[in-house]
Amino acid sequence: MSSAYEKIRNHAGLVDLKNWVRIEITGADAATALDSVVGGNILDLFEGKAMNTLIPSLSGGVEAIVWILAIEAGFQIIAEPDEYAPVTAVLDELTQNFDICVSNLQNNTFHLLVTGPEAEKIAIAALGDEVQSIAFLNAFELADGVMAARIGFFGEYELHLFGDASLQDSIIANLLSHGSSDIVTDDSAFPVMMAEMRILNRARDVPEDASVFDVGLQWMIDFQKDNLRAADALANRRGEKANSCVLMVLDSKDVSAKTDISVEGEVIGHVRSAYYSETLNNSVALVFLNRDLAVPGLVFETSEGIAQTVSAPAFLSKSVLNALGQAA
Amino acid sequence: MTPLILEQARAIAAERQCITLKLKETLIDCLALEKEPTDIPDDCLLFGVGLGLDSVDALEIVVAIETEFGLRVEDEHMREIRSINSIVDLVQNNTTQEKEVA
Repeated sequence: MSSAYEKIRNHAGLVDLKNWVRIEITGADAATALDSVVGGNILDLFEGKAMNTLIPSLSGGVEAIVWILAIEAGFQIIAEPDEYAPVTAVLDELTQNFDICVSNLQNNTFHLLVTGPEAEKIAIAALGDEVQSIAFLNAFELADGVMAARIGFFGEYELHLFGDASLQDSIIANLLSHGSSDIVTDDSAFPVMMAEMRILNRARDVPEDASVFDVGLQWMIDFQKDNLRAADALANRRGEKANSCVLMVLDSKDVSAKTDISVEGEVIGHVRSAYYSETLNNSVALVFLNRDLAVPGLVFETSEGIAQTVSAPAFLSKSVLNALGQAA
Repeated sequence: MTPLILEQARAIAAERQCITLKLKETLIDCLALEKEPTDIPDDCLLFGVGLGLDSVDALEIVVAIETEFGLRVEDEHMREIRSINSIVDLVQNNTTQEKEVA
């Protein structure tokens, strides 16, 4: 089992996400401006809350997948590194039409992630009991202006910490003193862990011509908004009979990404991303499957081996099972 | 599990898609969601991210499922009320069991 995967799925991991997108939007029009380009309803996002949403492309596809935190000064966009170019391009357009200030925080702030089934105990011990009260989809300002946000990418307990870059070393030292130096890891396991939960990375997992409906991200869009970007394009693509993104588990350990998958000589879909899952001891793949087969529970003998369509997530993570146990 | 031939798979998928559509319509009605069935992906989570429902909605959902699909949701099944697909699994499994009992 890879070290990063083992730590995050089974114990705790501390990951430096300094290269992730961190952009602050402030100013009188900050809410209106953001609301005009993202799918979610920013006007209902109150201070201390977080939203997972997307920026629809003008053709009804996915321009970028982002998290947005409502903070005292305005809003903070958090996203994976690949989203920097599309997000900044859209924000540049907004600055032409709205009274907003866009600040790239990457150079002067840190972004750390404490994650895994044992991470909450370490975070509480290091950062205080307030951490325990931060619910999923919430953010809270800790001492020294450090922002702690419960947002999620791979189904484990995840606490994202942001603050002035000068504080990073002391925060890391504090976390390590309550965990161990062994929790330091990297983001190398994120792709497989995200695939296991069917959480998509736009650049890796979303074909350029796919609509938000094909990828199953329409839940990120409030279709009742009267200012929805690309509303007509989205409406036109709603009824398309294209392929749907489905999670598949395959018995082969070496499944090729970006390859067609066929059954009985007939192409039934396209494998967009595939990874070996150490939890399942099988491969997990995000497959754009013919819509008439895009349901969980089907088993096929395919060109890539025996493959089963499954509901997401592919399994309940230890963090979720722990939480369910406590709730029960 | 035994692999399916495509014709079988398409028939099973069509049956499941009918149940999935009926479930989405039921949830839209009972929770007064301002959505079309196509706005809700099959893998959509109900609570937190996804539809953003809460525990009060969970009770409404249970009543609606029991009424619409004629099954009883026991306490041990509450864990299955987490996504559209997991509820469809619950409906299909319980319908099958009831048929076997009958």
